[in-house]
Amino acid sequence: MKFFKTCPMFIAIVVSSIFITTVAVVFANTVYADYKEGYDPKKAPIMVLPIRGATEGVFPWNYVPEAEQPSPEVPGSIDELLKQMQEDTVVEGPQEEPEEVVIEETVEEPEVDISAGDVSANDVELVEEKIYEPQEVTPEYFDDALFIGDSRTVGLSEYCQELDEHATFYAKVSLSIYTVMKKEFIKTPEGTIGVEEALSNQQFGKIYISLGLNEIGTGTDEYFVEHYMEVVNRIRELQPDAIIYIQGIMHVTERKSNSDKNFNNVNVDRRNAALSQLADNQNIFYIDMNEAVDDGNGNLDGSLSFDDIHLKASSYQLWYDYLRLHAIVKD
Amino acid sequence: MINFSDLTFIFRFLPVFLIVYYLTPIEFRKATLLLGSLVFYGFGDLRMLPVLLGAVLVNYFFARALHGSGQNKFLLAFVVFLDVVMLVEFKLLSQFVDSSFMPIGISFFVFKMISFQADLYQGKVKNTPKFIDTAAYFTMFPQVVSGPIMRFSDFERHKENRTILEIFERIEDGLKFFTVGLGMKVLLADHLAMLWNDIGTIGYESISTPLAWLGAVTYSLELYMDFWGYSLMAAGIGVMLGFPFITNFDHPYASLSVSEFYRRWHASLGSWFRDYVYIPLGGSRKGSLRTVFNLLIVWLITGFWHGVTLNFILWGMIIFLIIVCEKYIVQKLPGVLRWLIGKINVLVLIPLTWVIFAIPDSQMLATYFTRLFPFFGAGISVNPNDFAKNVGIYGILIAVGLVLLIPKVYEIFENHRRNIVVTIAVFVLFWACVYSLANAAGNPFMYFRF
Repeated sequence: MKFFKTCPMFIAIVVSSIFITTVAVVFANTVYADYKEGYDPKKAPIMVLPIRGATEGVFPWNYVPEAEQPSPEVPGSIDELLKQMQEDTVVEGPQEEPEEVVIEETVEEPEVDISAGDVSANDVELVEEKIYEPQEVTPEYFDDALFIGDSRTVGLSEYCQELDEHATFYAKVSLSIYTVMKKEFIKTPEGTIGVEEALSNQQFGKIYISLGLNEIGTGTDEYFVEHYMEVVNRIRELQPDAIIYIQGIMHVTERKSNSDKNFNNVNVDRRNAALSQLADNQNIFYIDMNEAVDDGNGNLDGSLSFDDIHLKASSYQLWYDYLRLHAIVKD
Repeated sequence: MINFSDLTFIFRFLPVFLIVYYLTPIEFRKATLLLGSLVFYGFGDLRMLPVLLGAVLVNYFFARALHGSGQNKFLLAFVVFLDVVMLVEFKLLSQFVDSSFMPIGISFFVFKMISFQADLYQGKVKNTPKFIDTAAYFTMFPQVVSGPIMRFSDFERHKENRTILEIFERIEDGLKFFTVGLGMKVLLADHLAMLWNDIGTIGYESISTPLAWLGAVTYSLELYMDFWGYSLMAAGIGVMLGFPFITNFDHPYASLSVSEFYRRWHASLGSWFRDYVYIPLGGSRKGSLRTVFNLLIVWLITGFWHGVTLNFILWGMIIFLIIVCEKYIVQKLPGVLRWLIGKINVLVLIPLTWVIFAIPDSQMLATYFTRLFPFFGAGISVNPNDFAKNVGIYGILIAVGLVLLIPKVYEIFENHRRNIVVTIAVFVLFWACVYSLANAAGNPFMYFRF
């Protein structure tokens, strides 16, 4: 008793630490299996597992073993998804496209013809597709545009006044392709809602997606693109008439790229290459603003950024200008 | 691990060390402290461990010679010269060649060594210093990284905890100081740092004037909470080991002048400069001109000690100017006016000097000041809502930080820390810190979310 009175807090901390560590060890391979994957015993004591679990509401008492869990929707492989995607567009294609398409195509420059030829060689039906060329637009183009993205898009909304006055933004710091449809972050007078609900309430003419940096250190490229495709498909279902822009992930600066094993431009370029494959150039377009902020060596120009990841406020204009000059107009 | 606010330090190094330390027979505990400290340093910077060891050996060798020499001025000058050259050399190397050339904590352990030599010379160290004691004093892990620059006389005030109850009483007490410091560092400073970082991300040319001022307040608070928190952690560990509590921060923002501020801010550094630079130069006893010159030297060195870049020198010079003005002008004003100017100096000028401290690039520094005082030019792509947005996010943290500036708040903890309610609050604070750290540890996505 005297001992307890001497150091009550010390005893409480020792006892609670032992308790949490025991919980961590006992449930490491069951309840906390997900957290154990990214856990490095050299860098932190094992008690971080239950604490990280608790942060996300995972406790031993609400744990459902894998076998009893209802099997989650198994996403198809990327190839299947891409095929499904193309089929979708083929079905809708003819309804949307007027006849004059073919005329325009013949006017195109030869190099475009070659690429068009490539596509049509794979799939005869695609011959009917219209070729859209990016063109310059006025700010009013963005009146029915929606921007979905992470902190970089937040910055675009905050520091590009003209765009902010015209467009709608569903952007949030740390948003990723895995969380974009799950998090409820869109503020409305009736409360905070998720992207799905918001897109059911209002139709947009253009939807710009800019995601992919936060999750660059996690999962495989295939897994990432699969999820990206799922999100795009879901948005297409909710907004069948909208032009969807998949924006390539903006590079980081050379300094960051050379020093970070996750956030480097090799990773960004690989993911962008995969993302660009998701475009069908009919309803879904891939645009890459990196050329507007490039340092000449495939990195974000260091003078445009302070933290090597985000554009400085005064540099967002470059991104906006790029968007204005590379818009798709459907008549 | 070399960081006190690291889970591996809190849950691995510290407990293991304490167990080993207190299982060691009393006469060998200093040796355990020395060994543990070298292990600690080795984890942080193994490559530079030889630098620390070399400095310890050389200084011990000279200390022995100095102790037996009876006030040999030449010997003292020589060893102090060696220490200073080593410090300056590494600072220049790290600034102009590669930052990895900076041995962790060199600014602090070299100052400890100089103070030790000077104390020996002045006869403040009575007994011939033993190697284990001297080396443990130089390298002791609670202080080797960022101070406090404890004097050898305080090291000698070390009290051996003999009974089990005594040991646990000290651990309990030290742990409470440690936890409060941890909270300041982890919950306040580390999060306030995010706002300061966000301001950089926006670009200084594009922040609104209110945000620029908020930034100055935030950075000042961050620096204070970070360093005060660190100092409390260091002092707390010292208490756990039986050392006296070293007060490094004594509510500086309650000061009535900048010179008082710097007696209460990083006090172990301030008193070091007073005892080993200012007073040996003659202090204020040799006339006004000489006093001003002595202050100039002190603040030039203080600036240089903090960093080699121009902004630190500028920072030191501005503090010097304010202190000289206070000494020769403000002091002579009537009471109310003196009080008012003193308050303004501490609460407005000091945060502005921290902005200078924070921004090494002079171009960017100038930009920041034009945003603070927008009569000199307009910003680019400024979003006027940025202030409201950041107050919304960081307002509570800033408010808590500001409340902690009031001396009474901390004194409640200090005076009632054995009270059961305070004990429970500190216990909760401990787990709140661990919670925050666990979600950040080994997880780069916590603090670096885009």
